[in-house]
Parts: sequence; C-alpha cells; structure tokens
Amino acid sequence: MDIQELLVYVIVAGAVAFLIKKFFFKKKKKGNCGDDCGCH
Amino acid sequence: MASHTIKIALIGNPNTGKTSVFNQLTGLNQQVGNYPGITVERKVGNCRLPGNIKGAIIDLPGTYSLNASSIDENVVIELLLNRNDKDFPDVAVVVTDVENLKRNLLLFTQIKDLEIPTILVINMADRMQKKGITLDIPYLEEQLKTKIAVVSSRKGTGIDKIKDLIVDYENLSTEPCLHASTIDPDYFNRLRQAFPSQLLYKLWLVITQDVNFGISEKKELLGTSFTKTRSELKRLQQKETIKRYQFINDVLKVGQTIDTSKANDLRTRLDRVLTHKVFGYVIFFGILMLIFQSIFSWSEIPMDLIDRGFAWLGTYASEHLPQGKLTDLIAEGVIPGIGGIVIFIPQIAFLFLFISVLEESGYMSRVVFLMDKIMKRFGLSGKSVVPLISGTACAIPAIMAARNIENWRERLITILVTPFTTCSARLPVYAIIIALVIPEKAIAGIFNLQGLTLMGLYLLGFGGAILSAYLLNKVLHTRHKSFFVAEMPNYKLPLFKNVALNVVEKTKAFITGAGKIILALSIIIWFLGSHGPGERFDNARQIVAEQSKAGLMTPEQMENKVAAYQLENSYIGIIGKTIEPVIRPLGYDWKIGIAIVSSFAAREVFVGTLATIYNIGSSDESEATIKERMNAEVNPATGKKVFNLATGVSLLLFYAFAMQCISTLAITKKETNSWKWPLIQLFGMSSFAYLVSLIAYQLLR
Repeated sequence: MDIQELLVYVIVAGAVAFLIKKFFFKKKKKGNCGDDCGCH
Repeated sequence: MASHTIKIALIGNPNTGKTSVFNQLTGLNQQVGNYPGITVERKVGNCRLPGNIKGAIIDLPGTYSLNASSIDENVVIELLLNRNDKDFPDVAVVVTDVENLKRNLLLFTQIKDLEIPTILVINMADRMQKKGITLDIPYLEEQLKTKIAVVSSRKGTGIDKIKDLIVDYENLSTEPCLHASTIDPDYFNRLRQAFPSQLLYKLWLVITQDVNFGISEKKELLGTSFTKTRSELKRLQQKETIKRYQFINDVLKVGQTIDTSKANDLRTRLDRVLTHKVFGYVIFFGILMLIFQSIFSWSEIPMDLIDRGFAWLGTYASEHLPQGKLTDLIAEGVIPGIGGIVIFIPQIAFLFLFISVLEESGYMSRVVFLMDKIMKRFGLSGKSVVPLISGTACAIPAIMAARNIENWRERLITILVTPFTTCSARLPVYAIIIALVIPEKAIAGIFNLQGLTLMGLYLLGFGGAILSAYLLNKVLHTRHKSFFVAEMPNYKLPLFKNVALNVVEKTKAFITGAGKIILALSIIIWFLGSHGPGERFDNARQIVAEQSKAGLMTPEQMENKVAAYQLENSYIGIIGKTIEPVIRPLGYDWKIGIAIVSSFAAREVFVGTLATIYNIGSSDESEATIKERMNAEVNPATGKKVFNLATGVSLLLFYAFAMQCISTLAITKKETNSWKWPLIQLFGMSSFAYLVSLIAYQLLR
C-alpha cells in the first residue's frame, strides 16, 4: 500500500467518523441555534 | 396649594417625545450634567407654574419598564425607590406616545404601584387625526386612576394643562391601577407580614433587581428567605408583565378607538393597498414573481463562472498532482463535491437579499397579516404564517418558531406541515433540474419559463403545507380558535448594513453547515464508487475486453466502458442497483437512486453526489461542468437522455414533497417529545412524494 492509498483510507475513515458524530451524537448547544441548526 | 418648589420627574419610554415636553416646560432654564460616578446624562430645569409656583424638573433617561437592564434604567429605579434621595419627586409625569400607548402604559402602571402621584401625558396628539385615533379621556382617567394631559410637544399644545395638573398634584390619586401581588398571593402575603411598614411593590422591585441601589432594604432582604431563585423570579416577573398587559388591553379596548378608515397618513395609505383583499395578493405575487425571475437571471453569470472554475480545477488537479488514489480522490471526489455546493451561492445570496429587504422594509409583517386570512380557513393559526415563511430559509428554526402558538393542536399541525415549505436546501436541486429540463424561453415576452417553474415549486410547497394542514385539521378534529395579534412596524428604507450582514450570515451558514457534510459525503461516495467487492470490479478491464471486440473500439471508448463497468460493480453501484426496482417506476436509474439516498442527510447533497458519480463513471478528462455531464447522461436501456422532461418533473415533485432531511426529523422529535410525529411526517410526506412523482412520470413519459 503506497502513501497515497494510506492517506485515502485515513481521510475516508475521518469522513465516516464526522458523519456519525454529526448525526448520532448530540452536541450541547448554548442558547438558541439561530437560523442554522445543522439542517443543511 | 403647595408653596415650595415642586420636584417633578419626567419619565417615559424612549422616543415618546419626553425631551420635547421637557423643553416646552423649561424653555432655556436647563442644566445638563452627569449622574455621580456614571456617564448618564442628567438634565434638570426649572419652570414657572401657575400661581407663581416654581417647579424643578428632572428629565430621567428613557426606560421601557422598572425592570432595570441598563445603567440608564437603573438611574430611574434608584430615584423612584429611594424617598431619601434629594431629587425624589413630588409628582411623576409619565410621557407616552399616542401611537404606542399599549407599550408605553406598562411603565406607567409600574410607577402607579409605587404610589407616587402620577400624571399621564399622552404626547403626539397632532397625529391622532391622521391615524384615526380617538380617546375617551374620562374613562382612561377613571381606569388608570390619574389625570391625563393630551399634548402635542411639536405644536406646543397641552403644555399648560400639564402645568395645571402639576400644581394640583396633591389631589392626584396615589392608588395603584392593579395589584401585582395577585401573581403569587402566598409569597406577597408573607412579604407583607414580614415588612408591614414597607410598600409591597417597592419590596418586590428591590428583590428582583440585580443591582444594589444602596437602599437599606436590599441588605435586609438578602438575609431573609424572601429571595427566590433567579428562574423563579424571572417567571414571576413574566407573570407580572402579562398581567399588566392584560389590564392595559382591557382599558384600551374601551378607552381608545382606532378607525383605520379615517386614517390618512402615508403608512396607512400604503397599508390599505398592501393588505387589500385583492390588490394585496396581486402585489405579493407580483413581488414573488420578480424575486424568482431575478434569482435565475442575475445569478446565471456567476454560476457559470463557478461551474467552469471547478471543472478546470478538477482537470488541473488530476493533470498536475502525482498520480495515485489521493489525487483521484481530490480530482474526482472532493473538487466536484465542493463545486456542487459553491455553485449555488449566488442564488442563495440573492434569495436572502430579497427576503432581508422585505423584512427590513416592514413589508413582511403585512404579508403575514395578509396571509392570516387564508390560513384561518385551513385550520392553521394566524401565527403559523411565521414558521411557514421562515421555512423558506430552513425548516429547523421555522419549526422552533412554532413555539409561540399557544394551542397545542395548531402548533402540532404547523410543525408537521412546515417541512413542505421550500427551504433553501431544495434550491440547488430545483435549480439544476430546471436548468436541465425546462427550456429557457420567455412567456408573454417578459416572463422566463424557468423562473416561473421555480415560483410554481415554491407555491406548490406552500400549497402542500396548507392542504396537508387542512387534512390534519380534519383528522385531529381541531376546533380551537386563537387570535392573531401582531404589531405592524413602520415602513422604512432597509439599512444596507443590516441587509448585507443578513445575506452574508445566511450564506455563510449555508456553506459551513452544508459544506462539511457534503465534503464528507463526497469523499465516502467517491470511495464507494471507486472500490468494489469481488473480481468483477478488480478485473473490469479484462472482462470488458473479453466481452467486446476490443479492436473495434477507440482507446477512449474502451476507457469509458471500463469506467462505467467499474462503477456498476462498485459498492455504490451495488447499493443503487438494489434500490433501482423501487425507483424505476418514477423514471430514476440507480445513479439517481444513490443521489436520493445520500441526500437524505441534506437535500442539496443530491447535486454534489451526481457530480461525483458522473465524474467517477467517466474517463473523460475534459473540463465538463456538472450541468453538461448530467445533460449528457444517457439511459443505456432506452438510449434516451436520463434527465428528460418526465424524469425532471418527477424529481422536482419528489423533492418538493419528500421528507428528505434527518435534522428536521430530529427537531420534530425534540419539539413533540415523541418519535410518533416525526415517523408520521417521514412516511406521510415520502409516500405522498412517491405517489405524485409516479403519476407525473407515467403521464409525461
């Protein structure tokens, strides 16, 4: 496995982790969320 | 009759003309300084009253209530609570604006509760005729337990009346107009028993203010059990304010008449046209049409530039970066994915520019009022209009805005139907599909067909919301009535700074909120599209070469065939093929299926996903734009374009009605405290979307 391939796997794993965190773990909000509540 | 100098405190809300009254009363006999230790202006003046009596007037800073929230307001409260202060007034003169009596009287009722002799000045009387306002002064004086001077400080009328009333201040009633202690009788009774010699409302104000007024009672009270928690005090303060407004409303209902038919100022004349039962709607739809036309025509050039820029960037990256998987990811996944969102910035910015201008100018409030008449017929509350209009930006804050609807069923219906409203996330999907399947031609010489289609989709969203509200109203048997109360702001020229800030904020939220998700999804989709299980993916070149007579194909044709074969046998291809039987009747192939599934995270992901898929599925390294690639996509089974009128209309209708947003479902769950309603929303909306798209495709194909 070359370095480019390794980096690709790391990036893909990071993207999956980000989406899981975004949609399955609630983050504590301070006050109102205004007009953007992560709906996009 | 008083022979000493009468100390007079001039009190009022900001912008009631208090200082003009002060100037009229004192003339040039004024001294301006500062309150000790703070930079709040202290204005005092002398006036000559009838009977050769002198008056010392202090013009206190403008304040909305006796619940201090600024240093200016503290000054007022400190003075009124401290009878030992050298400036403590013999009489308080509360100045109000005849056009904002309701709001201004809140402060008046609070001062009355302090049992200080109080005169009510109703200023700006010169505007009464123009506004069609008449006042029943004897009734108001009786209910408010005071004497009233109707004044025009601009024209100098009524000033003598104030002077007469000041001289006669000892005969003014000091009885409160309402008893605030009824908001929590037990608590106030205990307070009364503990401090029998103190004024109850004064004690209450001392307890509720954060500041130390240097008043001995504050220290005394802090050592007792009468101090409640901050949240309990806030709750009681809210109850007190509601009680005061209920009283004021009841008094003004009889004591003040506003006959709008007699009003003849510019605002009223504009209101008459803009909220007219025929012209109001005609103007509103005219403005809507103008907005949607402009969104399409003005953003065409910047959108083209962005599209071409990203296509060039993708090609540049693949040609100049070292060959390998990371370069493929950047050129085929990341760049087209980001391009798929950046391209819509001009349209989003224009949409919010128009919405901000309408809000800032005061017109949006008239639209809310206008639409209220329609809403009522469909079982929605008048206040439902606010969530429905805010839904054009995003359903999340819109659903939260439904909190101000008191009736639970009306609120629930509003929450359930708000996602039908065309949110900004749908705009990218609509824009690209309209550009692909709706011809760019003019109707009646002026209207752009694409703009009209976009406007039609917005109206369809509102229509869907209203129709489903009507059905839900029947199902849920809503028979409760609520009343729509809203204050109409004055018309004003929108402030450039406010509009610009709003546009920048909304666009930024769109990019940062959606951008991160789209980037992550683009990376995953690229990975799933360029990797696959088994030998069919790994040996694609060999299989294609064996299947076709390689000698008859150019190298470019061969590369395209291999890329297409690989995509079909990749992970994403397998997912798409699995759901294809369900979506085929709607006119969608497995590639569109993948875009629909991935856009469940956020609707606008649809375009970015297709851009990524078509990039992976093509070996072509030319700078083709997203639109060009989508336009060139051909269905291998029929040999026709994938994005034709039937499929395009079917997709537009699907996105208009389907519940394609995880975050909206999450907020519905939070607001209804149950999974039942978001699930009803999901299956109800998506089934309806499927049915409508199916009918549309089958009729048009």
